Amino acid sequence: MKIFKRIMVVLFAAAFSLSSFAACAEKGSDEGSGGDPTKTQLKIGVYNGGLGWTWASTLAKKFEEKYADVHFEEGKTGVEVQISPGEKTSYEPDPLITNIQSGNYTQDIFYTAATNHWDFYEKGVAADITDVLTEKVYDESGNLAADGKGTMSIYDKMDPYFQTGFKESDGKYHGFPYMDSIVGIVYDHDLLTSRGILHEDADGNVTDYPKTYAEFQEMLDEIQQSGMIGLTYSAQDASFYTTCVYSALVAQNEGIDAAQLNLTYGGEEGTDYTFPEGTFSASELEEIGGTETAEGQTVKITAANAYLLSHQPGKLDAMEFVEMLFSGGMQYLDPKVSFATQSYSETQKSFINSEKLSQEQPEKAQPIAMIVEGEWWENEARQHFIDMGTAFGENKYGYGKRDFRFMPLPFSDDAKSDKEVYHSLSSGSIAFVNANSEHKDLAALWIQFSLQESSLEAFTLETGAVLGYNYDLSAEQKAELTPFARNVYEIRKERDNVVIGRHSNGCDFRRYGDAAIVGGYGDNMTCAMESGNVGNDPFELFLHNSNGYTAKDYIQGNIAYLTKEMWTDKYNTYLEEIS
Amino acid sequence: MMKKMENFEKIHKKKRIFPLELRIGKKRWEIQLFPLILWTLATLWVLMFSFMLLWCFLLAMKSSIDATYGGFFPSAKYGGWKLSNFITALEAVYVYVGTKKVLFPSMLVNSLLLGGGIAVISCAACCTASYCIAKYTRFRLVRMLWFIVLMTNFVPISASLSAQIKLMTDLQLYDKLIGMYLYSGGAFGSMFLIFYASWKGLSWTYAEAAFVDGASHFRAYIQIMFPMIRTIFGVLLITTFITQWNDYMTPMILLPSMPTVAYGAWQFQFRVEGVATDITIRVAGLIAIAVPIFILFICFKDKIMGSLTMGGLKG
Amino acid sequence: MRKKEVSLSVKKKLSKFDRGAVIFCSCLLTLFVAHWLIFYLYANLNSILLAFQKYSPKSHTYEFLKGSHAFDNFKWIFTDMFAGRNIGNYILNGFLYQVTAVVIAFPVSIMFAFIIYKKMPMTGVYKVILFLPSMVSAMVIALLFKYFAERGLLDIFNSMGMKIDKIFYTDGKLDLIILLSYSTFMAMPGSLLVNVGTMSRVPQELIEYGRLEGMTMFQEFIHLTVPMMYPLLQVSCLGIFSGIFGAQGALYPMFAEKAPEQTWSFGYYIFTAVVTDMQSNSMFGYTAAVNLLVGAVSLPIVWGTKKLFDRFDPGAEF
Repeated sequence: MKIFKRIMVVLFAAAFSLSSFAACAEKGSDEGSGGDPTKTQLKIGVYNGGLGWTWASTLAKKFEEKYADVHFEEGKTGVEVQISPGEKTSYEPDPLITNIQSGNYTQDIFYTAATNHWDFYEKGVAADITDVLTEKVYDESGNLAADGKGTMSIYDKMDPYFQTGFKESDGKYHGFPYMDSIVGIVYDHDLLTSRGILHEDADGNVTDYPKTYAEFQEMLDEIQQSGMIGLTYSAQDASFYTTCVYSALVAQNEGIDAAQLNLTYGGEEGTDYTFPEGTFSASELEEIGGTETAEGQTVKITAANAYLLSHQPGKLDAMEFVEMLFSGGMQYLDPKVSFATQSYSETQKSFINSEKLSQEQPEKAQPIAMIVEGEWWENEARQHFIDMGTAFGENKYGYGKRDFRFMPLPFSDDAKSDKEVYHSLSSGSIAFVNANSEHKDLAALWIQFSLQESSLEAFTLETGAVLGYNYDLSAEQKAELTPFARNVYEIRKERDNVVIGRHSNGCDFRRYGDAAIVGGYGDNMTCAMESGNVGNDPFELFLHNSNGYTAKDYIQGNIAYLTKEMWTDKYNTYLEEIS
Repeated sequence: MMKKMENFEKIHKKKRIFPLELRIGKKRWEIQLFPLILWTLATLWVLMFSFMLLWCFLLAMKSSIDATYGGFFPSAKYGGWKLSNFITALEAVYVYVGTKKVLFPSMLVNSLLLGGGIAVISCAACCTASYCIAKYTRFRLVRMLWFIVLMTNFVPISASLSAQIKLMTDLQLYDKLIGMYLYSGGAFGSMFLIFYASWKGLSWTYAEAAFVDGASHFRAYIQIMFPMIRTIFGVLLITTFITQWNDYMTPMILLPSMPTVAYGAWQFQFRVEGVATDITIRVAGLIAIAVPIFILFICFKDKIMGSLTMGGLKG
Repeated sequence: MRKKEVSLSVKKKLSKFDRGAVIFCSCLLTLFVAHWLIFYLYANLNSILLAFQKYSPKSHTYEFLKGSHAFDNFKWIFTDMFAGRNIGNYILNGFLYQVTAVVIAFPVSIMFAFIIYKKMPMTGVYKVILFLPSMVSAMVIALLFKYFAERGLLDIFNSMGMKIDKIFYTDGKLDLIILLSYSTFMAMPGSLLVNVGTMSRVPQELIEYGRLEGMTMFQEFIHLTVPMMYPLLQVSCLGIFSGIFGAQGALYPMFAEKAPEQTWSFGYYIFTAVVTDMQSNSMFGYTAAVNLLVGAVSLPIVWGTKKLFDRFDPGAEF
């Protein structure tokens, strides 16, 4: 025993000493301290989320090659790009802004997952890059013009939504959109077609996606009868994914413009919206300044009366869809949905493994047909696919070998639109130049380099995700994509009947009004209430529905919470503050 | 006390089932009911807790596929015993300070410096303050300091995070090791009460004897009274060190440039990217992070748990 | 010298030393009180003032509530308690977490310490394992338990033929029972070192005398050990009331902000409102007001409890 103790003491002392030396010698691979003294350093922080940061490292090498002989500083030639991945917690808006302001973070450019781009401008950490975005540096192909005289700018390539949405209150641009990934219901195409749930034509296109809520439920019943689980998601980690699904359902039912009223509150001039007949009594209608029309009851929606939007019928329909998913004691859902240890990664793993595991250990698992995820998910779950490929055969189970696709959401019977909606989670998260950067010119070059056609294509080829800019992949490049990435590309770039819903264009009152009105996140289009508690995620509300509330109860709760008195009080307080 | 001892004789004369006498060969044991029950309870607790740790340890040794497809023990079919999970997990335990990546060994050093310094300073402060308040109760002002003790320990007003940062910044102590030492040097925390209880249980006659011999108050404290309580002091020193070792919140807020093991563990558990999202790696990381403090305990176990006796009054 | 002469002589010397005592106490206590004034009172003053302030999202600062609105934060608390969220349930849950820790776990911890102190068979190993929950971070243990409960226990139950779908998020009562059981289980070792250290102060001569008189271990525990532990018991009981409002069990380490609402305690509710991802700046004033209210109520209760315990103190001193 004495010898054992002596060994332990020696081991501890050795570990302590070694760690002291290690601390002196410690250096990460890509952090910004030091670097090549003969080159100018450009430091870039990239949020290390589903899209990862290796795309930036790949791009960095090409950037360094392009500017290898350029003098950015006296006595230095070329540029060294240092990429540092950003942790989720430290790249949340508040700590990130605080760290930049205090000088702890000295990167020149930041790629974040933050949707509140105005905060970065208002807190003075994001530099004005209007000139960078509007300078015509690209030729007709969308790549950097060789002679520097292009015909196209970044602004021209931007999705029109961001052209207006990213302009700050000073009329300038203090950032550019980065992540714009859609979220939806992803299904295992191989599984559902092999079991006869879905059918495809000769080109591999599915011909019988469920179009209505009833058809969707029939499909879920069929899945269940086949011994499979219908849907899984991670309630622990990813409840904000499900709000995107709900938002997309509302937008499909109401039409994207009517759904966006929940963000814009009718805009500066107000916007007419027609409620179904009988929504308001005659006296109520008179009070709110509405009129009876042939279509129903038309009211001009403004910031002062946007609480009326809780009466939108599309919201009730969407809630009923979610209620259906949780019906029958969650019969369509994976029991692990509510597990405390079911992280988003475990959910992905569970989804990926389910089919194989059900073959190996049928008593332990059933195949899972669908998962709520975003377009980054396959890249994020890459290691799981690699592990499965190693264990069970690369050709069948490896990364990119299986066919996953987004399931188009069904429409309610009273849907006013026939456009498929996919809601973007980040709605163009902000990437910006540090206002304290000493290399703003170099940062500008990087931005223009990273948003040229070839760089955007490389991004999509590497991550499988699509950015909110105008660019195309060739047929050969599309063939390189995984089946899922190809499906994402087709949805975003090639289908005419698709609308991408986004949420970063909230009006001033919505951004700065008391958060209690719109709930904790503010990303979704509505908030459904439960006995006075503010709930933001309908999936969450039905998951922990010990009171047995129905969709109607939640919508009525929403209406009862957002009263005229309460809304008016908040609005008047907001007006006082801005005056 | 003597009255209570007299009662023993009366109780002793009653007939009981316990203690049972157990003879095996020449050896003889006396088994009493009360300690038997306690021992059984403790054994059950130890078995349940150990089983949980064993299960977690085995999970940490599995590959990701094995955790899904395998059984209780790691399976050779899916990769066998993966000791490398611990290395992978420790490599994934890092914190970015600005752009500098601080790895586990540095965090270990930071934890030792922080924990050790705070433990010594706070124990010394609590011990001394409690001595004054426990033994000098004849001074009214000293008795009134109990109000501070009660307020500190039982009134749940806690300074907001921003207030703490502002104070430390104003005092030029923010993000400095010496600042953390000063911040943690409060004398009226929960340890005060334990020291106070110990001082109350220690006879003042020791000090009086020293005064009679000409010792000053300070000398009586340092050379006579403090050695009587050194065991409790040692115990609390170690427990404070362990508490500081496991505290991630305070160093994270007030000493962000020196991340500790606890902060690294906290970041690691809630990291949503990289290998840290794998359940086997997460569990391996949790176990690996606990190993240094466990080794420390094993090394000093006898010092911690042995020699827990104190001299009694002589003459 | 006779006893009377000794004590007179001692008294004379002590009165001479009173001045020395004053210098000794004031030198040391001044330092500590100054530290308290700066690092506790001054730091908390801001929090106290927060109770009368409101966050303005437009100016991103806190502004004092004026006139009739000065006590709005306090009004909000009472509204929540009686008409809004399940604050009453939260307080009840906090009470349960605290009471199980004190009423069940604390006596068990004393008993565990007793068998360690008596060096019963295998307690050499037991003391290492019993000390682990104190040594290893509570967050680590809670997380290990979470993984074990959902992945390990579930498999064990299912392999035993019990068809159970999930351990957590089942319904409110089961979740609360599991968490209370976990909190109590982990609190059972208690402050092992402190308890054993305190017990070891009982003089061996007294124990030997008792043995000779036929004292059993139970009697030794009741008549010698427990009186020795009385100050520690007092300390535990003093914290019961305020602990009701602060107790969180293992909620945050296990669930972060997503604990099942039926298991929330008041302390967890306040903690998540201020510190976690659920925080809103508008809650800082509210939580500061809560702290102030609880403190105002706690102080007299704690003072009274201390007086009560002092009255029944057996005064065991060796």
